[in-house]
Amino acid sequence: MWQWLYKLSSPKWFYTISGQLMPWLVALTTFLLGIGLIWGLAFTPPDYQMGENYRIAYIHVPAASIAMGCYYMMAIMAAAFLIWRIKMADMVAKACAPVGMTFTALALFTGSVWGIPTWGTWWIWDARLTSTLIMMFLFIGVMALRSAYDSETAGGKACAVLSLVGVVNVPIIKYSVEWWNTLHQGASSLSLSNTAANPPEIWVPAIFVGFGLFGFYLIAIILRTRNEILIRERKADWVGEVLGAALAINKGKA
Amino acid sequence: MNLVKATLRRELLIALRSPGDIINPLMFFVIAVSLFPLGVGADQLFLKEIAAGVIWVTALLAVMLSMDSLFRSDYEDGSLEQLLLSPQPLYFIILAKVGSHWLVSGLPLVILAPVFASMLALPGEGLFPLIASLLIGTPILTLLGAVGMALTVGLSRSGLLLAVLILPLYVPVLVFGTGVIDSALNSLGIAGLLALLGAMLVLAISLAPLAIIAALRISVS
Repeated sequence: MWQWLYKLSSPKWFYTISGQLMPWLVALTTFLLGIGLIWGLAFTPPDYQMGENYRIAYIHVPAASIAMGCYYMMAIMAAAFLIWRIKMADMVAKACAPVGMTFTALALFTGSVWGIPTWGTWWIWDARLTSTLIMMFLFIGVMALRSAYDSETAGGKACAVLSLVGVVNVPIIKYSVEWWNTLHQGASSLSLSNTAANPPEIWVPAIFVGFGLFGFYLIAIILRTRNEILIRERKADWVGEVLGAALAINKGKA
Repeated sequence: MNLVKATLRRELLIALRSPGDIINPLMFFVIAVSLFPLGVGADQLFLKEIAAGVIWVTALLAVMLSMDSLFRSDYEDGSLEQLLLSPQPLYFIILAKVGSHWLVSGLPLVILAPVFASMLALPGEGLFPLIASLLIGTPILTLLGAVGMALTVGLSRSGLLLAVLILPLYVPVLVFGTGVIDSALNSLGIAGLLALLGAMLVLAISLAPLAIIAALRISVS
């Protein structure tokens, strides 16, 4: 296990292993998302109060939790980069910022679309909405800081410090509902612990979509990281071999 | 202790010898607060509603704008590198440096705030909570701003970048700071919110200098 992790910290190994895993991950994600989305969006019964509208939660809830998880992941990678100087960790952290920002934006957008018929407004300055918006700003700040640095290593370290400082904000997001206790309901509607209120035909597709979106998130991170590896290691021999082989295949097809 | 004293003395002397760095953020605060009645109308009842928020937001921006003088000149003349190389405990040097910066940029805001609060028709029972919340809140703002400044001091165009980096981090302080005044105006207890702000200050004092040191090492390398 440790040795496997240790090997992953080598860009070449990461590139090879992720390349081998990728087809399986894509197949699994397509399967989960396909089943979950068709089941959840078309076949589950409508809610007796919210009607068809609640279905957007199938996207909204996983997107919001993945966005938050992505911030934690970025912070963990930042710590790994600062403490053990693992360059691979910095490349993953760099991939986390834009992906996390997109998932945060997706959570905010789906939340607004859900809010207009349910709450009667696109936006409300409720605690959790506000702190999710701030999390998006934190992602944007990390991206802005990285692009301001010319040196790849110094930029990575600066972003790592900023991510670790910002991670203080993420628990505040989590507990904000209890602290300020305004409009946004706590987890209940699709919470797995609340099986009494929700029959299996509601929450089983939610599990499918949740894991499916998580797979999609992993794919996005891995693709971005692989790109970053190729850019940073472009002078290494093995990159030339990999790219040379890929170019040869493409030429053969053409 | 001597170390802290010497750093404080040096920083305060430098600040006194170039008063523009201290006065400009204060002037920004004074002018920006005065713009609000001109923009939103001089209705006393409405001003009363927004007074606490306006003062807090403007103070927050003034603290952020004052950050530039904290590390900039030390970075340019190389004394920042000497500081980082010194065999003394950096944690206390940085704390003294940030503390002295708060004394010349944050404390004047706290002293000026009641004057402008009265001009914005903040009721009398809101004055003490305003002063107390600013007194505990502005040092947190200075400490967080110093982290952002330390990260960007090596970059040539860092003004707006600093805002993007640290304004999101200021949000909890702003929420609790204005919350103190709101509670007081609604005759609720303020001790709990002040205690939360105090907890944030303790957290910032213990952790922010470590982040500042790490960030400065990146910036001078």
